[in-house]
Amino acid sequence: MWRRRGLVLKQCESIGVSSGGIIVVAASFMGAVLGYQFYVAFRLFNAEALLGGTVGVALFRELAPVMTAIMVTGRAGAAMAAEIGSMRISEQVDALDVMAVDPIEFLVTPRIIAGTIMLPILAIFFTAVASVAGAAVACGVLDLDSTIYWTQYAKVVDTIDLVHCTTKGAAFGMILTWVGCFNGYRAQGGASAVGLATRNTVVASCLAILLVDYILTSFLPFGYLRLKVES
Amino acid sequence: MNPTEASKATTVRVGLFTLFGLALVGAFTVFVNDKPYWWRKCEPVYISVEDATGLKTKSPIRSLGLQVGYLHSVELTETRVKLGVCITAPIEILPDTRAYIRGEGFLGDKFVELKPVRYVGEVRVGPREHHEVAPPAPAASASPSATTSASTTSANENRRPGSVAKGAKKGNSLLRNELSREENLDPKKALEAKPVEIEKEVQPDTSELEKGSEGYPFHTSMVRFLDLLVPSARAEDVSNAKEVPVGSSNRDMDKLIEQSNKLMIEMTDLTKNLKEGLQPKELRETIQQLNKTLQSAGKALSPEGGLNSTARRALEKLEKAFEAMQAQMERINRGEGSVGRILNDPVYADEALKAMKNLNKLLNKAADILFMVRLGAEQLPAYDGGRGYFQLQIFPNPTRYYLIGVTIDPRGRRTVLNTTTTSNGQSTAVSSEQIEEGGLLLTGMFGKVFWNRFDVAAGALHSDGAVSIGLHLGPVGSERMFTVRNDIYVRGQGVGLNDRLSVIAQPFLHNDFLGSLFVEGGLESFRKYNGKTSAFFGGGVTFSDDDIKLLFAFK
Repeated sequence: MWRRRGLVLKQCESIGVSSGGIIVVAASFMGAVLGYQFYVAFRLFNAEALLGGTVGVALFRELAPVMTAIMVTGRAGAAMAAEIGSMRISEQVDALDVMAVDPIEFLVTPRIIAGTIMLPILAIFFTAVASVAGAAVACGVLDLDSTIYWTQYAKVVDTIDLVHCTTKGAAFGMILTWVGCFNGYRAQGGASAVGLATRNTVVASCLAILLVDYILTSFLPFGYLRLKVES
Repeated sequence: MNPTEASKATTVRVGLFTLFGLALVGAFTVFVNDKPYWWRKCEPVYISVEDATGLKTKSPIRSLGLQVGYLHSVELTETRVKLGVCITAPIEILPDTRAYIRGEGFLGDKFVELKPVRYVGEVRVGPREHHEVAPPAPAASASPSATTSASTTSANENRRPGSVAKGAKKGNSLLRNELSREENLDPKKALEAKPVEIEKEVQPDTSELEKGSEGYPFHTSMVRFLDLLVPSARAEDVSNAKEVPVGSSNRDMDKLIEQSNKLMIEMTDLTKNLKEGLQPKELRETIQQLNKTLQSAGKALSPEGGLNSTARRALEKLEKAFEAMQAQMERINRGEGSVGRILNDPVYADEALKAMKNLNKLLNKAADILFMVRLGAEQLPAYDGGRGYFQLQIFPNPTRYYLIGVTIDPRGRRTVLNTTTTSNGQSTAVSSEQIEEGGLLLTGMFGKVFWNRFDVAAGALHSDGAVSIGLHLGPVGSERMFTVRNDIYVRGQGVGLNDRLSVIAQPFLHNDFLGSLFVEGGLESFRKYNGKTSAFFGGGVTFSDDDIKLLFAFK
């Protein structure tokens, strides 16, 4: 794989670096909404101080990896399905075979590796931006003390939440690239096959991400399965 | 360009992006692992509890309302739970320190309180704006948000009730310990202020206290200042719910307290000063049993703070111990047993008291005298041998000392034999010198130290008449770390005046293991011996006053 590192880097740029902008925008609004909604809910109990911790845990455990994966699916997953699908229907994949270049190694593997590496980073990136956005809304607009927000954030969020975030990110990255490559690789027919592959990729990736999210949440350390066992 | 190769720009972009992501992961890891503690020195302490419900890693450890550490680990042992506590504040855990599991906050977050503890760090006193101090929290069980809410409803702040607003930041951030880690708080004052605060809190209405002190601005300021430092101390004294058992257990405690009172009256009447001096076997055993029982009771009563089955058993033991001790005391009071006879006989008691006083005086005097022992060895290449010596310095007071010692010296013990022969009325005197190699040489000097720096001594040094002048050049408080010494000595008639220059260093004076070691070197004599410069070098070990007194059980 080392000799294909250039391809991996290109895919890293395509999946990770190029998705940075959209992640920042999505995370900003997501964090802001969380800040608003949790503040309203906690204020019913005079427990606004818990806002920071709740936002942090929600982002690390669920929202950041899932939202990041869905955003990247819509952007990069669909793009790679379309790209590989186009190559398939224009017989470029067959040409690779003829040239004794393994298309899996050339087209699929770099994308999966890049997705697995880049998604955790993007998820962390998402979390950081969304946390700041949540703090901006809660403290700047809703008058919550920023010290309380960040103190509770640090107190409630644990290392295991980071593990959840990165693990899920890696898993989702692998899934969405695998689904995108699979659909693109299996495209058959004319131009409509490319559109079909793209649509299937987005739908299947989103569903697979949510399904795997449930499974990982259940089985990861300190997941809900353990809570169930303890109770 | 090869399509399988990435451009340099791509490589740089991906690299920077990845590095930035990894940096974020690192930053989050540090941040969520209690950022203020991750670099601090941690003193581990373990607490064994029966039930750790609600406690988790990173739960705060507090004392007097201030955070002094955090819960590092929660481990299940055979039948109990072992809590690994990381103390990060400069406090000392005292023998009577107990742990209490308490709850706070809206959700009843658990934390561990340690008390009493002693602050051992540097005292920091900083300016504080008293007018910003918020009123004290109403109860220890108040949540961070609830506590803060209570503070925000002070009269001079117009804010929505129940909200945690920016205006409360200064006061609340000081009140809430987790928000005041780096503030200019004076923990020592806080710790020391607690008993004072509790005493004040005994008064039923604190508002009256403050109202009554309106004419005394200083007093009012102090009350508010102490409120600020130890809010939970006030609150704890008000609630006091988790430490003192309620219900039927109160009766047991009352009974115990009553018995304790009786016991103390008996002991006061009986023993006075002699109770410490004379401890017969039975009394000592009873006290030991009492100590054990009290320890068991202490362990059982904490950290849960409530009476459970173990506590009840301990209380029963305590009760029995009290009864046993009271019975002993009554016997002694009646004059029964050897101790009773002694204590109730005024003659014996007076004599014993005098003896104790004299013994105390003697021990006090002995304690004032300082001793220092030096054991050293020196190599004298010119004499092709080595010198070993033992010296004892006795300091009746820090500025005066006596030096006695013995030496084995390659120069040998020099004796001069004068023989006078008379023959036919004519006397012939013959003087002969004998050198006894391996003979013991004696040292006996009287010295005085001026300003801890300048040391003058006179007497016999290695059996030579000598005057010594020493300069202690070490840093203040460790003057003897580096010493330059000059001994002017005379070996006797025919040998002449000589001079010895030595440099002594104790480079590891403050090290526990190496502090007693010293090295030395210099010139044994300015005169050459057998054509060689008579230099010497060596080293040794010193025994401090503490070592010697411990050896002889003066301390």
